[in-house]
Amino acid sequence: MRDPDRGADEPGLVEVVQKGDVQSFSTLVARYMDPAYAVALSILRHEQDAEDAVQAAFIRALDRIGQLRPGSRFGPWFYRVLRSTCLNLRRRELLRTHSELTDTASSGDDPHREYERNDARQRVLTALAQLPERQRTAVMMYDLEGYNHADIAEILEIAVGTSRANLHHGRQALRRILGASAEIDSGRAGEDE
Amino acid sequence: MSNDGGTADGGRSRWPEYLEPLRPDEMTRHRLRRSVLAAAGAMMERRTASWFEVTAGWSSVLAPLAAGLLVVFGTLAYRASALRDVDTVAIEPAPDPIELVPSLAPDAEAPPALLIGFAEPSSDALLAAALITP
Repeated sequence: MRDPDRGADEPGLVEVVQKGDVQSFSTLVARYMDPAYAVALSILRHEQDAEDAVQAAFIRALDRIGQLRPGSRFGPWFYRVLRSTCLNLRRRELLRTHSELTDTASSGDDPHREYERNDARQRVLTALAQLPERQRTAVMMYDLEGYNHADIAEILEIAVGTSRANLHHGRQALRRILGASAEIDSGRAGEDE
Repeated sequence: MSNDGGTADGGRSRWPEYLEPLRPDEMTRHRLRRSVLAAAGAMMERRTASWFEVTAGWSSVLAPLAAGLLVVFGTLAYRASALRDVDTVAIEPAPDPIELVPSLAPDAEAPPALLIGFAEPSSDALLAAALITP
């Protein structure tokens, strides 16, 4: 669900961070932490690597935040930094070669609950990995990063209708893979699709 | 949408349910937040410190250079002024030819006829006349 008011204060926040205010940066970190982690996890498919990538991306973003023009939103720029960080991490073969999601940092929760969560996470990641690239990108950009179809169309240089179709087919495929019970459309269904 | 003008709202209050498993748990979130902010704080401190270091570094390099330049230019200026004093007489423009003096002088200031020699004056006399003339 999109809350249009969220992020309205972002240009101001960015401006303050550009002047060196770490406190305002922590607000941006809190705002983008969860989706950034999910995006990194979907690319790297390893929890520890996703954590490393998110941390590196935030620090890289802070280091280069002076490049953002006044009045710019942090989100789209940050997701570009994050994706680039994830791809660099993967390309440089810094990732461990052991099986995915087996040597994860313990969350300290009940082992059974942790197992269930890891299992669910693994199923979603596997399902996402099975999607064609364009559908996966549409699903991630729309459902996780919060872009609308016009934005996705412009960023990926495709038609708005194509973006809608990619999202529709991507969700359909996920529903098929994850099972009929999965409420794929519960996120922003009917909102913009 | 411009490059930076997207509408991605990372902090949406509700996620699609099927993506919930990708959300970090509380422990991960806490750990991540702590490490990011620690690294950010360290980076800011380093940036401030490095600014001072750069300034101090440049100052220590430039100070002796500036002092040296000051000495060199000071010496040159002193020598130039001394040379100018010495050369003042030598470079003084030569006085007008003595023949012009009577023709330019008004009648009242005309020298007595007796003093006007028809013979060519000697060079010593000309120099003496030039030095005496204000």
